[in-house]
Amino acid sequence: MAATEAPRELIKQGAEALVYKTTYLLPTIPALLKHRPRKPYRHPTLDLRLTKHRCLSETRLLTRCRGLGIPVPAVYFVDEARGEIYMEWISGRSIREVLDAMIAEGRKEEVNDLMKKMGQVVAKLHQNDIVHGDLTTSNVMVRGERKSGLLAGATMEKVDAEVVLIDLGLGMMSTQEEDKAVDLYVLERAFLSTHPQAEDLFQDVLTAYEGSFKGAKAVMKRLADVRMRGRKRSMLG
Amino acid sequence: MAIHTIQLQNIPVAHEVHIVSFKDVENASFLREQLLGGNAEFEYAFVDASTIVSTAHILVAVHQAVHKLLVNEKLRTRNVHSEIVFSLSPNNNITEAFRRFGIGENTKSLLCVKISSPEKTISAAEVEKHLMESVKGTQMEFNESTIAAETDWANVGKCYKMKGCKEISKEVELEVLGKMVMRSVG
Repeated sequence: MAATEAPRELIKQGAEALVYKTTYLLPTIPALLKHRPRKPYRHPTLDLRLTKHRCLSETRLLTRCRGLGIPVPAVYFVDEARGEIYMEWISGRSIREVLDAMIAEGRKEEVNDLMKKMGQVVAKLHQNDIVHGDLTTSNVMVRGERKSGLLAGATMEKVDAEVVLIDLGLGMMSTQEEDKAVDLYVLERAFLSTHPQAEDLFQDVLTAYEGSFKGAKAVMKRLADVRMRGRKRSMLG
Repeated sequence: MAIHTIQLQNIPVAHEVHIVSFKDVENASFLREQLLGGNAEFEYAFVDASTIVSTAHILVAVHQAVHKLLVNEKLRTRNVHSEIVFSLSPNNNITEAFRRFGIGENTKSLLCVKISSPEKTISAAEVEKHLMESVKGTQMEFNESTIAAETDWANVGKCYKMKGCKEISKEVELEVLGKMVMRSVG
């Protein structure tokens, strides 16, 4: 097509989707494009249906979170037939990288603060019966600046470290404590594998989580079971 | 010139977007009749500017409508221009969308959007000339502050089921856009 094609820069590739940095509407509005390409090995009809379904369910979750005030990127535009979602560009780094830097520089207080925020955000998610499904340290962003003002023509402003959840591609609605506990378990494993010295850090996350909503105690109890057996439930009996 | 011509990202150049805005419009009912009568010369999206909260708001609707036209998804309404008005709606009721967001008897401020097409290229000058002759009102610039000045928050609150918003902010804008996106994903 002609010259209005927005430039795309590939920033991440997963099993299911390619993630680009691009722009939406105007060259001045940065956006993230999540593209689920066709899988040539799948039957075309099935492929279309799966892509469509996943795009739409991810979008629904994102907008639902947004409505509840849970920090996630806003969805700008969905083309479910092509498997494309345009969403708000979050400028910042993953919590994994931020933690690395903070621990290396010994910024203890900031780390504690971040852990607390983390616990509260996950609690808010679970309180509203939303399960992230892939809650790793790479899927949590820490935003240091954000656009102020309106979409068209805004400037960046500095904000206090703000935790933003990304990639709800595996998310779902669930009232089950099991699912929520698995979310926490996955997060714990991610923490421990990337920041081995961070065992007490994750405890801070849990403390903040536990104090944030009513059902949290039950989830914590369940977490103990999940720790014993791992993420997958035994199908015996 | 107060006509605003925009090339949207990922939309072919041939589909450039012309926007002219007016306030103190006096002949809204005449314009509305032209639309209802299907007068081909008046193939515009006439949007009641009191329902629009920001420039991006109307551009998102335009983008959705043109995109639908391009990917051969059937348009839900008569043409790409009426589809723009429909795209503003948070639900699937077409009549209601036209009543709320389209031009009405009492419309005072108006956004006129015209999409050029490869089959029927239309230049900014042509659009402006025709609109200047047809719309009785004061032409105004299309920018964030003129849009904000015309926004009727009571009306926006009704249209998008939002309570207590009195001025535009980043959060309000994204909430409105979110509701439009949700409509299209069901």
